[in-house]
Amino acid sequence: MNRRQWLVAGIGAAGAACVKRQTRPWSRREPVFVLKAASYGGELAGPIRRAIQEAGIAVRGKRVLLKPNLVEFSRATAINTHPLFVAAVREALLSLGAAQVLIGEGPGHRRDTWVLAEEAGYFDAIPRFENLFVDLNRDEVTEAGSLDEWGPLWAPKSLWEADLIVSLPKLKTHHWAGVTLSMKNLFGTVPGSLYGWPKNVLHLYGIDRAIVKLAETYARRTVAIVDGITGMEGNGPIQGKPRQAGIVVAGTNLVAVDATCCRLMGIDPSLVPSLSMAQHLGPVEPEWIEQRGEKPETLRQDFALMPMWAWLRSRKS
Amino acid sequence: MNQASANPAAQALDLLLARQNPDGGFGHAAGQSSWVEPTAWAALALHGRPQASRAMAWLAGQQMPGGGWPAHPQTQRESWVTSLVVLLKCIRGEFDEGWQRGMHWLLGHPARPGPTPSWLDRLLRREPAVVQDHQLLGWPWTPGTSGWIEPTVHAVRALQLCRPAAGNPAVQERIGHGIRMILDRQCRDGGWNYGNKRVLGEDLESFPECTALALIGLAGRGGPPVERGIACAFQHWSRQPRGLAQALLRIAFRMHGAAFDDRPVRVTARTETSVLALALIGEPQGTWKLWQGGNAS
Repeated sequence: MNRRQWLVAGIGAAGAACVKRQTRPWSRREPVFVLKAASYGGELAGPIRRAIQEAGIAVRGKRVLLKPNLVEFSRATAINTHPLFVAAVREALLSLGAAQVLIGEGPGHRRDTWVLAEEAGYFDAIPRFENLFVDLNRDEVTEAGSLDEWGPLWAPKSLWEADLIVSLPKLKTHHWAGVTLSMKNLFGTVPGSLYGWPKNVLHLYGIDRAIVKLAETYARRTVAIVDGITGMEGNGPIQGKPRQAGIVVAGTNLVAVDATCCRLMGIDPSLVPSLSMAQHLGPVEPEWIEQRGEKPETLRQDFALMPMWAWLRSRKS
Repeated sequence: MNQASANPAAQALDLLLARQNPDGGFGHAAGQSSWVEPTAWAALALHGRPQASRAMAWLAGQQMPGGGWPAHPQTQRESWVTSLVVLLKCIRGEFDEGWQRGMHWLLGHPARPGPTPSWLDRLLRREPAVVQDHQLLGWPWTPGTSGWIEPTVHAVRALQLCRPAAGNPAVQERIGHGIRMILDRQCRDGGWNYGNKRVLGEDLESFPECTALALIGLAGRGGPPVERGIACAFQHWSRQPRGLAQALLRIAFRMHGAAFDDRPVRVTARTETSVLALALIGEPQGTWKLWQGGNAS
């Protein structure tokens, strides 16, 4: 073979490898439950309890850590997981027999986690919040893995010792990652006291690579319940605009949940870099996701995308 | 807690003293193992007391072979907290071998230069994705990463207070770089956030705690940028900040001689140790003057 033929063969092999990766057969279809929820008011714990059950999330007897997305606070937009949503999830988990439900977060920009939580309404919405909350930026740490050339990956001890981590992201687009959902939400588990504010190591490691690394580290005992009642579109995760989506998405597989969220936002999940790289952790293909509850295609709302991410738009109607 | 606890400063002092671990260090919260950052702030807040000497002894024992300090002994990796310990050593006049090694580490670990926009970036974008002077090297949180406001402020102040290095042109050059970097990152509203003023064509807002820190790094300086910074700090102050932001703004105002409507920092048993310490440092008779470069009264 000449050089051109070697090149063509190489490209073909690489392409085949990619196709093979994207059509990896799964032993089962991953259940993802989609719930309609118009607002944070009223009885939210009941429907969320149903979502947890329908998604197959087992909680009885477990020590649970809820990981909301708490970034910055602005009255003008919807940056954070709504405190009433967190309160409702906590109530639902306790009613389903969870032994303990703590809340933990390590914001990436704001230094004073407690004041941020207060500004964001967590103290008002969640009874006994100060006894339940763990500042993951300043917790004791344990070595959880490796960030390869950047050294060990340290984890907050409270997170590491939880039987079940529930990622509670906000349904948002993201200016560097395309979307920020249950996997990207795990950035908040990296302790700022070691990595700083922002956690710059994760950016230099590669945002998408870091998203996948954290998902690999925690996926086995992490489930997701996504606050998509009010999401954020455009220049997320901070400067975007609120988007009333009226949905809650729950599941045991983070990749499948995030892929479903993408479809609900009118985004092709197979084009999202981190999801494309995380297919060894779960499926993005609809045939390997068992959609329960509402059908995503009937609730699809095309979230505004920044021009640099316009190519993520799903062409399927 | 004693009867004096009705006074917020006395309460902060009680809580802080009770946080000292048997090894002399302090954790971020009550009952936690000793970490370098809260221990350093506690040592400054308690300057002149035997508890501060015990804290310094613990800190001295944590220095790494390379000369820097780890955020926590368990990690065995040098980090931004090196600036805090070097600062303390300068304040205390401990220009010993540990100080020398710490200085050497600090000077040898600047931030990595920012990315130079590619031709494609320049073609596709009217302005860089992140607007800043990438050639101005501040200091990073962890070695090999980019420069940010807070670690740069601490490094600048540490180097400024190192009297034996006052005539060293290399040190002065690094201080100058750090100060220009802080000024370069000033947000449109006059304050500072963690270090990004404009990203993807949108201005970012300042944070009160970072605005205060930047002003602490610019203590002793005047001019329009500093005046805009102080004006922005007053805007933040008018919104009744609490916790860390309030503690740092009080210190910044005092360092710049700005008259302000002082309010004591309210603390509870849950207040983070560094906030307890900074609340005490910022008291009218607190050790903020040492941080500024003067003598405590």
